[in-house]
Amino acid sequence: MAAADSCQPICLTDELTGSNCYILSADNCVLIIDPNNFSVIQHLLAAHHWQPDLIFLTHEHCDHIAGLNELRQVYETPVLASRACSDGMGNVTSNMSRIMETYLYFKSGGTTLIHYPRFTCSPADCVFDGPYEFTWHDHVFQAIPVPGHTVGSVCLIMDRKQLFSGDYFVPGEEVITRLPGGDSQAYEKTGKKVLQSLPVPIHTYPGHYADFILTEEVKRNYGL
Amino acid sequence: MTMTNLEKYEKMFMDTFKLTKDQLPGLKYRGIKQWDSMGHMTLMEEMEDTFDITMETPDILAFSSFEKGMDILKKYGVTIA
Repeated sequence: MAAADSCQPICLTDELTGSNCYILSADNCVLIIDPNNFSVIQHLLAAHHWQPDLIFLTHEHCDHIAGLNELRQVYETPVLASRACSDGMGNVTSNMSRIMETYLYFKSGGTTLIHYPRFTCSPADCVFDGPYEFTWHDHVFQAIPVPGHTVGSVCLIMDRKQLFSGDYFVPGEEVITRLPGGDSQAYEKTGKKVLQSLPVPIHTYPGHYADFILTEEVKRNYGL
Repeated sequence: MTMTNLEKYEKMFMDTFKLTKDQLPGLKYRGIKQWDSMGHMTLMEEMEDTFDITMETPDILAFSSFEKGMDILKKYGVTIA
């Protein structure tokens, strides 16, 4: 776990799915990006006496929203997401929870079968359709829709210095467009151009695995 | 005209994997490029939607061929004929 300050995100990785949740703190409040595991997040918040005042979602897949329902129940925190993400998380097919047991079995190399319940989430409290800029505790964020991995996928840039890339630029993996909501044509037509246009170098925090510096070379290796 | 369960079953494979009907007999999981783990998950979701069933994960994992799938579906009251 990384040190906590207002510029250094804390990464909480879900043991079951490997997804990353990022916590940004400011003035005893936190912004939660992709709430993957309620218990782990709650433990951190309680230890620091932090109060979440915003939840942001990079996309609608269940491994990135598995802690959302409980977070909303306990903290009544507003959720910000793309409209497509908001729509998708209300459907077990779009949010992938319907097939997650099978996915995790394949992901484990056929060694582990774990029960993963199907679930849905209520729509986000605030949605956006195109590029969207907002301010949170003096930090400026740019949310940039990147269709391809899912229809509701978004990259989030903080203060032009940090990139939360969701399931794009996942180290060691190519873009996956064959999971629920994926669209290879949309990725080729739109998503690629958006990713290519992202500023570099930029400290990048992906939805899985460790953070890294995104450079032109990394983009080239990613097929951009 | 109403499709039979066999016609629905065949159509799912043909649509999901872009195959012709004559390519279906003997078709096995990982026997073609399209029927990999990702393709398998897509096929199983189509299966559930088409026959309005909810399959248990062990059955999804045991669904290893065109013919084996017909046996598995019987468990859910779906007769492919």
